[in-house]
Amino acid sequence: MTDQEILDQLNAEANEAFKALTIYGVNENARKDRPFIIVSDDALPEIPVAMDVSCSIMTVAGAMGTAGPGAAERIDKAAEMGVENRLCSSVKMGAYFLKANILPAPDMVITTNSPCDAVDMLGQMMDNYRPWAKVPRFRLDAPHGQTEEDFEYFGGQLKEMVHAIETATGKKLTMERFREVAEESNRQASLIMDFQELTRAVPCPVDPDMARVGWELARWVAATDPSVFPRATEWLERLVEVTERKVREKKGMDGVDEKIRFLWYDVSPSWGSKLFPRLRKEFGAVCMKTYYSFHGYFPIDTTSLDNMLKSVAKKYLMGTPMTRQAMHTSDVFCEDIVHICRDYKCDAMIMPCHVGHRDTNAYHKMAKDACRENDIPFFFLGCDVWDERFMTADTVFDRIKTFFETTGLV
Amino acid sequence: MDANNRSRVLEKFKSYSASIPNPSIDQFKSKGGKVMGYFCSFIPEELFIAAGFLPFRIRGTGSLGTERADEYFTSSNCSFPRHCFNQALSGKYDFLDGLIVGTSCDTTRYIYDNWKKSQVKTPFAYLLGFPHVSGEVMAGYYRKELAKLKTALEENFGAAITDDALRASVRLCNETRSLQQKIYDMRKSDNPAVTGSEMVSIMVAGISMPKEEYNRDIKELMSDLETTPSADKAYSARLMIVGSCGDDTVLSRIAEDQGAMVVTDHTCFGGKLKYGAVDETVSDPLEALAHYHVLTRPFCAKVGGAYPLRAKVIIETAKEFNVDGILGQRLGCCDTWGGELYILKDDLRDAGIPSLMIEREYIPDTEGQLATRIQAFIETVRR
Amino acid sequence: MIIGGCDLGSTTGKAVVIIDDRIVLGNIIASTPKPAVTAQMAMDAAIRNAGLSSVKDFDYIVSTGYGRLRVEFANENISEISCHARGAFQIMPSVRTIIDIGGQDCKAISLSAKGAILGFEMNERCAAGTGRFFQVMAKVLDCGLDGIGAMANISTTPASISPQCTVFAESEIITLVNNDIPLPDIITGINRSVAGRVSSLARRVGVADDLVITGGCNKNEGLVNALKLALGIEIKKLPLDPQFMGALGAAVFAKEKAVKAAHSKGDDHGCK
Repeated sequence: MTDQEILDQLNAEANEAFKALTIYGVNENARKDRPFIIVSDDALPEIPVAMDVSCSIMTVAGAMGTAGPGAAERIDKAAEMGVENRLCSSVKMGAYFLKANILPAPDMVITTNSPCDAVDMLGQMMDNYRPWAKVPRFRLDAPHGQTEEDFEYFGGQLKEMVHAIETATGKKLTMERFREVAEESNRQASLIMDFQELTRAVPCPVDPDMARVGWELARWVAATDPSVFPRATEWLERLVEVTERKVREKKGMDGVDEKIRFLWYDVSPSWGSKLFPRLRKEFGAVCMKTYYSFHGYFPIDTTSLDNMLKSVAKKYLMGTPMTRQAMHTSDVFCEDIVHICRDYKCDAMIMPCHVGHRDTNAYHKMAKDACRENDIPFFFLGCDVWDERFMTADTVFDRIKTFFETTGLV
Repeated sequence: MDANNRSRVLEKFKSYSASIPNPSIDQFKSKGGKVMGYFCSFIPEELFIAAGFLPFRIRGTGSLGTERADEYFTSSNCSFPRHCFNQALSGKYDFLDGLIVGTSCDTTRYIYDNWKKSQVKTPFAYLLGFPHVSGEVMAGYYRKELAKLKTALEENFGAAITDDALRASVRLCNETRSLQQKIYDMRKSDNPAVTGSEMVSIMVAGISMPKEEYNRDIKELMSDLETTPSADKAYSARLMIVGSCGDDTVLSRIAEDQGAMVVTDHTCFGGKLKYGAVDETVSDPLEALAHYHVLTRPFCAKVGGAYPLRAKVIIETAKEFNVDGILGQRLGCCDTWGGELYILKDDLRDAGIPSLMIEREYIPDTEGQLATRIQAFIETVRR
Repeated sequence: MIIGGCDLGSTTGKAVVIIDDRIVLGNIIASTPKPAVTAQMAMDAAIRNAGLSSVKDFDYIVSTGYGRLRVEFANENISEISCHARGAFQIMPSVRTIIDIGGQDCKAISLSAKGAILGFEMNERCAAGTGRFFQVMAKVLDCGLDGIGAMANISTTPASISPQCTVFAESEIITLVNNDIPLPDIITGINRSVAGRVSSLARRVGVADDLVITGGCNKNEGLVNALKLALGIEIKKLPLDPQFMGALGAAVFAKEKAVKAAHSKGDDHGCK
């Protein structure tokens, strides 16, 4: 197989696997032979994988519901429910699933305030959802700090959460299995770091978005089905292998005459397929990072149960996209921009500033100032990463084109 | 007798709630006192009082716009923090010696970052972590956070915050809550002692001036209200306001101008503040404060697991005050209250309490549509 | 007993007279900048049509609508939501859902079998989905509001127009005109866009048979058809001019007040 064929194969496998994250997938997951849990935000997959339970994420199912045919109608139906109309559409969609009663009753519900007000609100709707009145609930309090104490605080809650899962599902967490899964998780994280490192090469050998794809496979899909966990590792190994080869051969992305590297520092839009390929084709502009394709290395310390839970906590609070950017003070975001632009040789920072992200809207000036201080051309969009009608892909393209022209990048 | 002439204290409170700062603050500062501005209702004023400071709950009263704040925020952010910050950028909060921001909602949380980096010269700024779940472990976490804040205040201001001083300020603030509850109770009757708009002034004044002075004033007010009860005022419906903020009289004024009477509320600047009491018997006052805010009064809508308690308190209060309907208010772009009112509406309906959920801007540029909605609601629930 | 109801909308003023049980409609008056003046003109037209001579002949008058507080000769004012509901229910007791698309706002009202308001929703501070939207578009297309109404759903390939914002939509329409998209396609697209937004509002209160549309936009057949499609429900025709429902409801309330007052005091009530 050619390198491109390998990459296409990896994408095809991932797209197939991502079906498990949709509302249809959630219903399928419920029918399988494992205890079935619905969570509001990220599933911290090490725990469900080690306990052999299935976790589906409401916000992700909501996000996937905003894409594809009929998405606009679904978003509008959600808006009719009377929740804040300017709520993030992915969360609106999740709220709609509840209202429309199209979710299977789970064995347990786990919610948290992280990463933002909208998901917190969705979690509270899930907590008070009447059709699930008899379903056991557990709520995590994610702190906004970045200290060891904060990680211990959250780690302590994870311990309680494990007990709650054991009570609700009858499944037990053993140290041996937890350690096994944590070591595999560390291996996956290491592979993602390797891939990211390789994409620093100029020209960029492989679409950096593959880091997002691999991460979502290893974290979200694996949480719904523990058997995916080792397959995700193998997927990442193949990705790193083909990327290494391309770097050795000094090859860029197929069909891309790379001229510009930019940072799209927000969630990758669900209508991205109408934008990013066009930017590559017309300007040779490659998106080096989005929230979900940017990862730091937060290894899990497997020396004891408490240390494992504390480092899982830290990985969640500091290493999970959205949580990292939205829960902490703005210096985390601003420092990230500067490091990413330097490490990945980005020529520009585009701030999509999704309309549903109250946090980024609240600190966009600081991001702009950080870019100015570091001579990074900065562009503010203010689009909706889920609902294209707010600002169409064509409009976004035109604005980015103007930005590139006025900054002399084209 | 017209309410305007019933008590000089009421006039004082109306003036204090409509302005930033006020003569009591000016006097406090002229004697070398320090003023701590803060967001939100779960931050214990007792800590600042014990240090000898005057706590001032930040609001956007008198704001003429958000043009300056909108360099930092966007129209996707709620208007309350934007107006508050706009007032700060306009110099209205230059009298503050410190700013304490709690980790409440996303937009308010980032006021901390923006305020520090702006030209507003507040010498001390602190971000206080507050838990978003109501539980014993979380109360323990909050106690630690309060201890860190206490240390920071001591180090920064050279103040000593002793346990005795904390206990004394707990007693003082408990007295405030108890006095405020008594005034609320005077609204249960068919002829409420004060209107909804007047009650807003009374509550907002309470977080804008020294507590000792406020407590004396409230006692005088109660005596005035008892000796000169208001003339029997006919009204068409008894209403309760539930929602965020509540430091202004927009809804109460519109409703009362249309013949209704707002008899109680559950808002962040109003009824929530006087609920319950901090345990004075606990030997560790910081623990008592943490317990109160996280377990006794987890009324911030961002506190998960506590919605059933919030709904119960709202419904019980509505019944106690013989309310005909509830006006739920949330500000535009407030995801938190969008969800809270959405869930609450069903529970209110089941409890047989009609409600109208209103979205508004903190400082509405036009009140016509608000007035129409409220009038229509009053017409459907009137007695 | 001579009763009056006056509805002062942002775009038009209307009045209705009820003499004993006889309902007389006034004329539709274009709103002037002063609501008091519009109110007088609307009332004068109704008085003339009823063969009366002056507001002084009236036992009770209720005002409603945007300018309801400025009607000097009214005994009281009642919200347009209550009045539209009351007016429609008066002449069609089977009505359960009312959609009113006025000049500057649109509302959806849900009624019980007894005519009590179960719930209502109004659009949020925005011209999209209101008569204003049509005015703006009619200007861009240079065809007048009548032109928009006249070209009822005759296109089978309606253009897609943003339902979110009047300003954005105006810009989209200019682009469509420049791209030589046929006028019927654009107009049908406008109707569908408004219908989409309005039906979304209606579903928030719950849509039930019988459903009627009040307000001036009722005369736009294309919009009515688009709403029918969007809501999936038949839209019933009111037996009286739907633009007068607010004024009629105000008059019905006025009659109830006058009758009650007459029974309790035995006096006739003059106007203020």
